[in-house]
Amino acid sequence: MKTNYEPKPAFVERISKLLNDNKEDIKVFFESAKTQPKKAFRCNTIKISPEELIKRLEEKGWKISQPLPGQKEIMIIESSLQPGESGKTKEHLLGYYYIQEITSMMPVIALNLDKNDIFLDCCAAPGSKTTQAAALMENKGIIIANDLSIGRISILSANLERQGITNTIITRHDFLQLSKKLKELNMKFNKILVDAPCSGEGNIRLSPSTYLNWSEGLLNKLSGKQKRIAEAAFQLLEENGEMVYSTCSYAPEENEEVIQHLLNTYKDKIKIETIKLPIKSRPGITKWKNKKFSEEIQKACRIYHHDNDMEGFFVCKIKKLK
Amino acid sequence: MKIIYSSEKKKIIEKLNEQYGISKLPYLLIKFGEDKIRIYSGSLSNEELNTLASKLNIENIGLYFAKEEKDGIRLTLDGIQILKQQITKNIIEIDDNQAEDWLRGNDLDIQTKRGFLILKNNNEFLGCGKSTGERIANFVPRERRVK
Repeated sequence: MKTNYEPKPAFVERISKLLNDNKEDIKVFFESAKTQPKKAFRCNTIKISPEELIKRLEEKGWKISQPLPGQKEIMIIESSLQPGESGKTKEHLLGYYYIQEITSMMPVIALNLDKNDIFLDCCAAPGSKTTQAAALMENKGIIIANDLSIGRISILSANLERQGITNTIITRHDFLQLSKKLKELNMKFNKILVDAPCSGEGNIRLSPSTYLNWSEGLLNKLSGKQKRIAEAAFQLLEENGEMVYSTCSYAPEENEEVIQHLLNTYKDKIKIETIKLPIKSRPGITKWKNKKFSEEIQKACRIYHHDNDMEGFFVCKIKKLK
Repeated sequence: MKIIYSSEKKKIIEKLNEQYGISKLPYLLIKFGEDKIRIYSGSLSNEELNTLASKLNIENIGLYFAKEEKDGIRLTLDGIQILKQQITKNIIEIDDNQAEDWLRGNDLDIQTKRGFLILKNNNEFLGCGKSTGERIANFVPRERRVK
């Protein structure tokens, strides 16, 4: 099925520009796009230790690796499984692990959460990052996880239940409306995640149908929405609080342009933080078409799928200054 | 939603102790609807939660832990997972075949005492069922069943 989907010429052209017209890099990017990444998952440390989980899964004949030395909870299934097999085990049903792409774990890793944090997950469904955050916070602190659609919230709720998450409040609001209400309540957060709704360019390996709906018009439309969400989220940060903005897109309109918008809007109240991720990433770009971005945006991380044999992501951490 | 205050919480713990041996519930208890009890471990106080609830569309708080029924408290699969270290009463051991059947959502034809029971297989707690004496009714949520 997936081989029926082909990138549009404008998409190829844009990726080529992002990869500095490096022919080898472009070739590897598109060859890799036609393959599937390895199946990754995250051990739910609220319920089981990584060692115990590995022991149990290996008893099923699975070969498990832990690709990131500092993150024992992050695992890859090296053996080949039947379609859907990883989601049918007793261990999955009981919430001992959560199937999640490794790049999608990076925004929460960048936030460096702990159990005293007051954390807002602005666009939380289906809950991959909320459950990861709750585990890092040991089910303590405060998490507000928001989404708009009832259907997506029902998936979010089910995932939180299965993972044994007890410290989270799920709200259902358009995020701009939520931001307004939280401001009225004078509620501030020291950690915020804006994992913004995006074009999904970075997910083409797992969802090649993304090519079908892709257009530059869509990117521009999303960019406007993302700027409004990021701006509304930044207003909820307390002084010295940190916010991670992420998308699973390569498009500068959805990434650097949004960060530049925050820099222009909040000027001396905002600073981009350096982040060190445990996987290969490239710096944010400073020029796209006729637009120039701040040199500071190079501190953002562009994660290309072919650099890590994973999916693509953009992660940028910003701090609110006094 | 309604926050369950200390006197009512005490009664719930007494019932849980009588039914399952659970004596500690270090969570804030919140009732959703008539009979669903959720547990919350976050650091917001009762007052803060009430304030939030008055302004926001709150879909859920914490974890759905138990349901109060006419003839006792039924623990959810996830509630059992959280409190499994404390559960000592009304446990029924099932074998691997029965466990597989149970996780597929089937009732189990087992003759045992009537009432709510916690099903256990090889040190794994697999949920709560209700026995008629001849059969244990399955409450594993549809979306959580092994297909």
